[in-house]
Amino acid sequence: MNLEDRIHIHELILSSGMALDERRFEDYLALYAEAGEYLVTAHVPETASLGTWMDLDKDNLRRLLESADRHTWNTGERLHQISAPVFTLEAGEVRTISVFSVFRIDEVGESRLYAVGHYHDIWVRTDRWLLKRRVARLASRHLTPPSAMPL
Amino acid sequence: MEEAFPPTVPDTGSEWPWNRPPPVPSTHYLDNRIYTDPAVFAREREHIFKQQWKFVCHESELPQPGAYRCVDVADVPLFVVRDEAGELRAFFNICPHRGARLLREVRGQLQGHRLTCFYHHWSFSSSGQAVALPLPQGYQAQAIAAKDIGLRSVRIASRLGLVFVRIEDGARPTSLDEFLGPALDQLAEPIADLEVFHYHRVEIKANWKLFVETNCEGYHELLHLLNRTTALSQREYLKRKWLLHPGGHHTFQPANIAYGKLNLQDRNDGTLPGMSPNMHIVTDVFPDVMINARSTVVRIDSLIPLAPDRTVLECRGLAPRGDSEAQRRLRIRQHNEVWGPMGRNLPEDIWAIETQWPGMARGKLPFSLIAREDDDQATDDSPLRSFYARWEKLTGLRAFDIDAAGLAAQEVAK
Repeated sequence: MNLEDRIHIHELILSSGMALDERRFEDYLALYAEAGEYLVTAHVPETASLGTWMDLDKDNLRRLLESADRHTWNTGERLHQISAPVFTLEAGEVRTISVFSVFRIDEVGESRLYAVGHYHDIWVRTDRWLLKRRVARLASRHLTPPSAMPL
Repeated sequence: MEEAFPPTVPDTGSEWPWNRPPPVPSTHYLDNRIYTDPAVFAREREHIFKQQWKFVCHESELPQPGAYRCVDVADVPLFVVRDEAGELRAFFNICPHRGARLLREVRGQLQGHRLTCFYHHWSFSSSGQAVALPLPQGYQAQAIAAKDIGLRSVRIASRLGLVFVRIEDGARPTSLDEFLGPALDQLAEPIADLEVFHYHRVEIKANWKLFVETNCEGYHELLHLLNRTTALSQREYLKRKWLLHPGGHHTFQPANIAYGKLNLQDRNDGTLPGMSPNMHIVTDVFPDVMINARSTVVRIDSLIPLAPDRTVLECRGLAPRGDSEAQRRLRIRQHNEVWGPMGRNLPEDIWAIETQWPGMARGKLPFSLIAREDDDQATDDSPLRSFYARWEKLTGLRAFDIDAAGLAAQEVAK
């Protein structure tokens, strides 16, 4: 993996947040490989375990996003802030970890922090770099009011 | 043909009486101050949450002797523990010496069946008996000794794995079985041997009863894309019956959910005992427990009312013990598809009730309707009326007018 690949993957990570913020769901889905997966996890003290709060293959992620506008929890704008990733090369796969924050902006323009965590991404290269798996590992456990929109 | 709601304001000059009791029986509307009045909230805390059996956790959260779980009931910090003999016990999580919090982790395992207050190191057995007071000579003059001291205990009982406590006995204490009556019968098979795999909590900016109500009537399913598409869209679903039990508990009779209508997968594999594929059952246990079973997985919601306008919702997901890794992953997916903080359904209920509370506060909408009648079928408000009948009996208030006199006196006289 050369510097150009690193820059490209970094840009893809940033673009994933922008695509969600701008509700360009097809662009967001295009970041994933056909066998791609999206998960949200959080450490839960009450069960003393890593809880899985979302676990979708690409088809189910598409179905969720396609119906997003018909749900009632989608009011308000969001803004993702994503850090530069840390890269590791493992078993021929590129893995990145980046910090994310998701802010919500209400109808009168007030912003507040909604969730923070790390993206643990696995990237594969076909004709281009694609997400094989994204785990949004939450540090926040209190999402309020919650929403089924991917983070 | 369904009636229009909210009723359209006719252009003849007459209007719906927003500021007066609506022209329906007093059982069919609510004084919205029941949601917003601090004195009502305080009365609920004393007469309902302290004196009724209150669900606090599932037995699987206490898997072996010495395991404990901290909980809050009516602003009282408690902990539930399995003692050395494996029996469930519940205590105030308060050191009887100087009031410090004894257990500070939300769950854990007692070492050597002993817990020690971090402050002055008084220690207690898992059965609540004080076992050591450091530097005991200082207490000799007042004849205070560990053998005479214990933690403040709370009544505890469980049924089908659900653990309940009761802080105070009240005027007419009942056993847990008497309290529940037949409410859990419908769930006896599906929930008999489950374990908790999911827990999350959400603080809701609304009164606790508004959340309870979302599980006491099927009319609001119109809110949910998932429910109106996979449930209400079926003509048969509208005939689904509510069973109203004594004590304000209800069960929503089994129905089949058409997941395919929202391009979701059917739930054919790993159905719970006593359930068929795609079956859905709901049971409400007064005042605040809502149990949903969707053929392969179960959700239990319960509430911690903090203030008239603040409520903590606790959500648990449960599945059979002994699942393979693949089976459990499938169940977790099915759980999260609808429930969980990122499910399609739960966030919509929270959005809805958070818009209700400010609309009711400070007299903006003095009354609201629970007036639907449809032979106890899906969209009938009869479970709400049943809930409020029980609420009135326990609080001594009238839900249609909290200033109405008489009920409290009548109840005390009985």
